[in-house]
Parts: sequence; C-alpha cells; structure tokens
Amino acid sequence: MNSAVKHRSRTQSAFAAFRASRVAMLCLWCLVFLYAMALGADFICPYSYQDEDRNFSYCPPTAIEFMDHGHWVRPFVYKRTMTFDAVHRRVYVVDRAVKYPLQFFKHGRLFSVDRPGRLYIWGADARGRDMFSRIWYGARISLSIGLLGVALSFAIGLLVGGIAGYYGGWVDGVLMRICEMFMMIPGFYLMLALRAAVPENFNSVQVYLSVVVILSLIGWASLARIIRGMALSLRERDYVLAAKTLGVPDIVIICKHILPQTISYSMATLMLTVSSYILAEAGLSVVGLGIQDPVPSWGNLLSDAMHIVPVIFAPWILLPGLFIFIAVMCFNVVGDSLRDAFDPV
Amino acid sequence: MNILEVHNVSKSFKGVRAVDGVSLGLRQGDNLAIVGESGSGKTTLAKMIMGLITPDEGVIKAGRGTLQMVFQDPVGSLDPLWNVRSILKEALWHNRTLSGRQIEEKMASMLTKVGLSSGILGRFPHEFSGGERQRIAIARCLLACPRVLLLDEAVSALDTLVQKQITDLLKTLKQDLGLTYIFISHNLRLVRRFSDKIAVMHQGKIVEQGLMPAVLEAPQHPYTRQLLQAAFYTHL
Repeated sequence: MNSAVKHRSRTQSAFAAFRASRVAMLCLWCLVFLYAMALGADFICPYSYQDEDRNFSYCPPTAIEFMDHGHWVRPFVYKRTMTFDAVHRRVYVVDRAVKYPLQFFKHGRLFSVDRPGRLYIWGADARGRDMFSRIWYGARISLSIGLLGVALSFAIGLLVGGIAGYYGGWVDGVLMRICEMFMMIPGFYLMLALRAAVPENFNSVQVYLSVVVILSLIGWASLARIIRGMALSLRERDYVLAAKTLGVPDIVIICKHILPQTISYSMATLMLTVSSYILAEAGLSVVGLGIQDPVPSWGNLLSDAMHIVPVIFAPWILLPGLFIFIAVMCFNVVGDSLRDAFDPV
Repeated sequence: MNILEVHNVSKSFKGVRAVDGVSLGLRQGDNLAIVGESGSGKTTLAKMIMGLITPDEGVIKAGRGTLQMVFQDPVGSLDPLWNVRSILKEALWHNRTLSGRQIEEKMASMLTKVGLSSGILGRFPHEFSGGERQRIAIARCLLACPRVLLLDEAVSALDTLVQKQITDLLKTLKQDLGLTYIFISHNLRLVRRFSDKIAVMHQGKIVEQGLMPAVLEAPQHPYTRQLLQAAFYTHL
C-alpha cells in the first residue's frame, strides 16, 4: 500500500474542483478581503463611524497629495472650506496654503489627519461623517448578519428537514405543515410583520439580533422542505439500514449519514442564502426598520441615497450600493461554483 | 435451544401479503438458505428479522445484538462520504470502554481476517471493487460480535469468481468464529454448495424446508421442482 497516495473523499475532490475555477477563487478572495476589512475596521478606518463634523456636510472625496512643487513629500491633504454659491449650493474651496500631513499609526489607526483637517477618501455624508469609515464599519453589520442568519436558519432547516424525512409519517406531516405556514406568507411582508412585533425600545445590539432572528425565521422553511425530500430517499439507503442494525441512535444517523449527503445542495444554497440575507437586511434598513443610525449598515447608509437631490450633488453616497452588489455577486458566484464542483453533471 | 425463533410472522404492504405466516427456527451453527424468486418476500422477512420493519402479526425472538446483516448492494451499504476507519468504527460505537489504540487494533485485525490489508483504513469506498467492499461490510458486521449473520443476497451483485472467494471466506469465518448463517439467495447452484439447510419461499410463504440434500433430491412442492428444473436443467 503506497502511503504517499492521497485518498480523497468526494467532498475533498469537490473542493479541488472548486479551487480550479478562477472566477470562483477570485470571488472567494474578494469576500475574504471584504470580511478582513470589516474585521479590521477599527484599525484601517481613519474615523469611528459616529465621528461627525457638520462643517463638512457632503464634502466630496479628498485627494491625498504626494507631490509638493514637484518634490516627493510626506502624503498630505489640503485644507478645504465650505461656502455657498449664488443658488445656495455647497461649494468646497481648496486652500493650497494650508496642508495637513497624514499621520500613521496614531491613536491606534492606520492613517488619519490631525484636526482641524479632515480626511474623506470616499467623501462625506450629510453630517460630515467619513463614508470610507462608515462603509467598513457597516460591512461588519451587513456581512455578519448574513452569516449569522444563515447559520441559524440552516441549523433549524437541516434539523427539521432531516427529522421529518428520516421519520416520515405523522412527524413529517406536522413539521411540513409548520413549514408551509411560514412559506405561505410573502417573504418581505412576513419580515415587516415580524419586525413590527419587535419592541421599539431595543438598543442597537438587540435590533441587530432581532433582525438575524427575523431573517432566519423566513429562510429555514424552504430549506427544510428540500432537505426533507432528500432525507426521505436517503433513509432507504443500505448504509442507513446498516447503521440502524448496529443500533446507532437515530439522531446520530441523521447528523452523520443523512445530512452530510445533502452537502452539495446545502453548500450552494448556503452561499446563495447569505447573499439574499444581505439584500434582505439592506431592504429592511433602507425602509428604516433595520439597523438604526448612527450605527451603519450598508442598507441604512443607502437609505440616505433615497432622495434624488443629495444623489445628484453627492453621488458618492451611492457607494454602499456598490459594495452590496459586490458582496452579493461574489456569494452567488461562489455558491454556483460550489454546486458545479459537487455536482459536475 | 434455538438461537433465533420466527413464529407465524406476516407483513402486508398496501393489501399485498409480502410475508404470509412464516415460521423458522435456527440453531447455533446452522447455515440456512432461504431461496425464492424476486418478490417472494425474502428481503421483507430479512428486514423483519433485523427489526428494521415491524411485522403485522407473529413474533420474532432473538437476543439483543445477536444479529447482523450483510446487504446485497456493495455500493450502497457503505457511506460514500466515510473512510473505512469511520465505517468500521461505527460498529464499535456502543463500546465506550475501548481506547483509541484498542479500536485501531481491533479494526486492523478484523480487516486481516476478511482478507484485506490493514493499511486501507484511510481509504474511501469508491476506491474498492465490489468484492472488497463486501469484505469491508462483512468486517463491519463482525466487529459488532454477532452470533447470527444474515446475508441478504450478499454475493449476488458480484461476478462468479468473486462470489466463490467471498463464500469461501464466509465458510472459513463461520468455522473460526462459530457463526450461524441465514443466506438469502435466488441462486440455487450457489446455495447447494454453501448451505446445509434450505427453506423455499413462494408468494410470501415457506413452501418447503429441510436439509439441503433431502430437499434437492426429493422436492415435495411443485414450486421447488420448478425452481430446481430452472437451475439445473433437469427433469425431476
């Protein structure tokens, strides 16, 4: 027996096939980057998410200057002052006489500018808060809410589906009727109804958790139904019968024999569900029922862009939408490629 | 004293009596063949004996943990996502007193007993041939220390040469471990070589049973005669 030969399970072969797909790997790395930035927001961003300066309302993106009179110098930004023009529009005037050098590793942040200078790489919102910082702090909420919601709804969905399919009979009947009750109501309205049931005096953490619970309550039912169908056929397999005759407890059989067989379906669905949860959170936040200001999420950042006038004069407040797009697209591509890798036919 | 007692057992599926009033008695060391065409109720009877389905009527008496079953399909009886180590370990799941090393040793020695190398523990089912898989399935059953082994068409999916190898292995194991066999098959030629008792099933009933030579030489029931004719091309 050659011990150098690597013996691969089907799962391992599938991941090898996934790694061979360039687009999927690019998207995966893109997601890794987004999550890393979200995790490191405290260090990477120049400001905290609630650091505001009303003198810089809708300040356009600031250029970081590297050259001064044709010489390389330490990076700096010019002073800007807000004035109003004849029709009372904000105009930011660059004052080339005053420079604010970039400070590195000051106050535990990668880069910042000393007051009264302000650094707005991607512009500022209505209250003069840095969009760059708010987007990465918002990524924490938006990206984690998808994962947490999916973890919760998959835990419920897999278990309910596995139990219903494995036992069949009246257990199956009762569990599936409950599923159908959840699937009967259109998703977004169910979400609004559930959100209405959440007390109004919740703090931001409680709101966050309630959004997670709301999202997972919507998503588990359809998954449970599909897993149930798979479990119904899987329970007739000989290796399940063999495990039964060995006296292995039912719950162990469900978790170790039945559910792992559904991996090709559930891995792909998991990724696609994350993206739909990110969108759902954004939807909830855009209509003002999700995460509440000043805590940013991509959804509530985008709710600032609901009115046409600010979008015309400060198009950078649409940036969170781009990030939602990137994240959702990456999750979808990764999900699709995972499905192809597990099910090559 | 019978090691397994099946008393007047029946089972219906949607009005069709798959097994109809079957009685069997098995003594220690017996090697009983149950033969019959497909749909005669052999597998239903086997599943009832194993406790996988409950009979509508009748009683089955067997001590706890005395029975293990080898399935027909060598592809389906091993979980494709598990390696041999996990597959075999499952048979020892209830045995909490064994240390990790004892388990490894037990598994390795069982693999040698069924004629496989002990180095295959890290491999996956799709890397083996049908015969090898059936050996793994047999090893799994034997690790659970049964007294009766129920072989449900255990060699039917294999080609003739491998059939011979596996039946030879089963004979050796029977002697070494003092096992009792119920060998379910539709293949009379194979059964004649392998078993020493026979029960003929037809439409859910056992129409004839007895010692192998007696039944083969002087079949009483017309169906048995038909079956023998078909298998050995002889007119009786």
